[in-house]
Amino acid sequence: MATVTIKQVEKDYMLGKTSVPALRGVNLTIEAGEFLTLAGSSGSGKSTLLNLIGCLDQPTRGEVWIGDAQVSNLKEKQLNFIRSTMIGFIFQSYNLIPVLNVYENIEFPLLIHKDVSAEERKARVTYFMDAVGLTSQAQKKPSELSGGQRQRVAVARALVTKPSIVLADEPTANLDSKTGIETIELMQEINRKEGTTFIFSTHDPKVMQRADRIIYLEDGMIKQEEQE
Amino acid sequence: MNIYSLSFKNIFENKWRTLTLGSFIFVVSFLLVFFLSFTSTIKSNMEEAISYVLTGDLQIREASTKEEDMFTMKGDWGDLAYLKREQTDKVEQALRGDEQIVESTRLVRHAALLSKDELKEPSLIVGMEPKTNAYKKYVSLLEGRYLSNDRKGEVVLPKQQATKLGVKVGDKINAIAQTKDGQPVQVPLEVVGIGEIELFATFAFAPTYVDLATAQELIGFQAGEATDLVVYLKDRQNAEQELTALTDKLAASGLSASDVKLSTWKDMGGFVLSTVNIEIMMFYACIAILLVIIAILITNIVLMMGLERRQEVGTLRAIGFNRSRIVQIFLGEILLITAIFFAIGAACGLLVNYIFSQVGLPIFSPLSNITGKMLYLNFDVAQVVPALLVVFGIALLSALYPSLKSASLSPVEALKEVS
Repeated sequence: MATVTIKQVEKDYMLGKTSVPALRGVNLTIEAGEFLTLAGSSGSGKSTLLNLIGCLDQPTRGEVWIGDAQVSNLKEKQLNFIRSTMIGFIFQSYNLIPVLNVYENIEFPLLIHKDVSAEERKARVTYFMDAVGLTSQAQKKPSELSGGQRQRVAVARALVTKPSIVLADEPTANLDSKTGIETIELMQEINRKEGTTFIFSTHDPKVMQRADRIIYLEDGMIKQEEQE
Repeated sequence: MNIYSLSFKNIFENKWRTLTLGSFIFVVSFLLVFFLSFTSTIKSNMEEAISYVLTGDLQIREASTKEEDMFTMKGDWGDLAYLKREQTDKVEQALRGDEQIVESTRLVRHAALLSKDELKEPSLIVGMEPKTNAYKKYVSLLEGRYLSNDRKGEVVLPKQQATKLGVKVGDKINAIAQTKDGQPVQVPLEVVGIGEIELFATFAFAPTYVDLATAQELIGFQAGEATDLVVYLKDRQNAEQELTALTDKLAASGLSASDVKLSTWKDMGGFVLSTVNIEIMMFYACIAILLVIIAILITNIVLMMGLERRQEVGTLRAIGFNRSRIVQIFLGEILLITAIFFAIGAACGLLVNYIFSQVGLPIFSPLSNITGKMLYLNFDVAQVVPALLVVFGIALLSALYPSLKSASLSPVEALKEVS
C-alpha cells in the first residue's frame, strides 16, 4: 500500500488580492521505504508539496492521503496526531531548540507520546544518538556544534518517534558539499536499515543523484520523473 | 525531562528578560505583602481606637438617640435622651458574669465650655468611671497622668485645648454647662493630664475626659444616670454575636428595643471607618497602577518571546505539539519566573513586616494623622496568600493572550520566517 498518495492537488496562495498558484494538478504516489527527492528550482513548489504531505498545510483542491487517511478532511487534533506519530521533519535551518542540549533535542518530540515510557525514551534517544554518531556530544548545545552535527541531531530527532515518513526540506542547503553528501548518506543508511520513507527536496544535482527516485517540479507541476 | 524543562531552561538562558520581569514581580510582591500588613494595621488600630476612645465595642443608649450623635461636633449628642438609673442598673446586671467582657462603664457625654480666666473653649466632655482603662491606650499623655480612681474634679485635656487655654498640668480651670433642666452650672476642674489622640487628628475629635460624677454634675444627672453605657470585649470581632446575646438578656430583664438601643463599634464608627477606608483605597489604587504596568510588561514580554521563538513554535507544531501544549510552555515560563521572584519579594516583605512589628515604623505627618507617629505592623504570614493570588492572577491573565496568539501561529507561517 502506498504511504503517500497525492491526487490532483492544487495549492493557491493569496498575495494581497491576487491568487498565486503554487501547485497545479499534482498527482504522485510514494511507496513505503522509498528514498525520494523533489527537485526543482526555487519557487517550483517543492516546499509547498512537502508542507502538504507533512500535514502542515491544506491543499486548495485535490486530495492528500497519508496511508489510508485523507488529511484534507482531518481536524487539527488528528493532524497533530499524524504529525507526531507518522511523520518526522528535517529542516534546512535545523530548527533545533537552542536552550536544549543534543540529548534533550532528540528526546523532546517523545515527551508528548504518553505511551512511551521513560526507559523506552532513554533507549530510543541513545540508539538514534549513536546512529547519527553524536553520543559523545550528548551534553552539547546546538551553538557548540558544527552545521553537519546540527543536521545529524535534526535527523535523530526526526527519527526518534519512529515515523513511517521523514520529510526533509533542503536538508543540505546550509551545509558544505562534503557534509551535505554525508548527511544524505546517513539518511540513506537509515532508510535501508529502518525502512523509513524519506522524501527530501533539493536543487543540488550531487545530492539528488543519491535518491532512488527523482521528481522534477517546475511551476507547480511535475515535469519529469526519474527512477534509479 | 518534561515539556516544562523547556520553560525552565529558557528562564536561565534569557537572563536579562528573566531579571527584567522578575524585578517587577519582586517589587509588586514586596509592596503587596508590606501594604497588606500596613493597611490592615491602620484599619485594626483605627477600629480599636474608635472603640477604646469613643464608642466601646458595644454601646447601650436610650432608644431615641442616633448613631451620628457620636460624631457631631455640636456637643449636644445625647441631649436629653439618657438612660435612667434603673435602666443602667438592669444593663449592668445583664453584663455581670459575661466572660467575653473585659470592662464596662457608664458614660456621660455633654457639651461644655472650658474657661481659664478670660479664655473660653467649647469642649466635648466625656465622663467615665475612673476605673476605666480602655481610653488610656490611645490617649497618649504628653504630660501629667490619667484620671485617678478616687478623686473628683480631675480633667485630662486634649493638647489643642490646653494650648488654646494656655494651661498646664496642675492648673485649675472651670467647666461651664447647661444642665438637662436648662440651669447654668459651673464646676472647677484640675488639669491632671494633657494628651492627644494621634489617630483622630484628621477628624478633630478631642474629647475632654473627666470622672463620671463631675460629668453628671455638669448635665444635672443623678447618680447612676448616664447618656450611655459602653462595653469592651475580649474579641471585638465578636461584637455582633455579643450584641444579640445582650439584647436577649435585656429583653428578659424588661428592657426592649423601645427602651434602649444597642450598637456595635462598627455601627458607631462607620463614618470614621469609611474615611479610613477611602485613604486605604488610595494606597491600593497606587498598587493597582503598578499591577497594570506589570500586566502590560508581561504581555509585551510574552509577545516578544513569541516573535523571537517563531521558529521554535513552528518546529514544535510540526513535530506534533498542539496549541495548548505550547501555551503551557509559555505560561510555565512566566509562572516559574513569577514563583521565584514572588517567593523572594514576599519573603523580603515578611521580613520587613516582622522588623516593623518589633521596632515600629516611624510615620510623619500627614499620614501620621491616621496611623500615629509610630506604627507597629501586624505581622501575619497569612497576608502572603492574597498577595500570592493577586500576583499569580495578574501574571497568568496577562501572559495568556500573547501565549495563545503565539501558539496559534500556523506552522507553515512560523517556519517560513526562517526558511
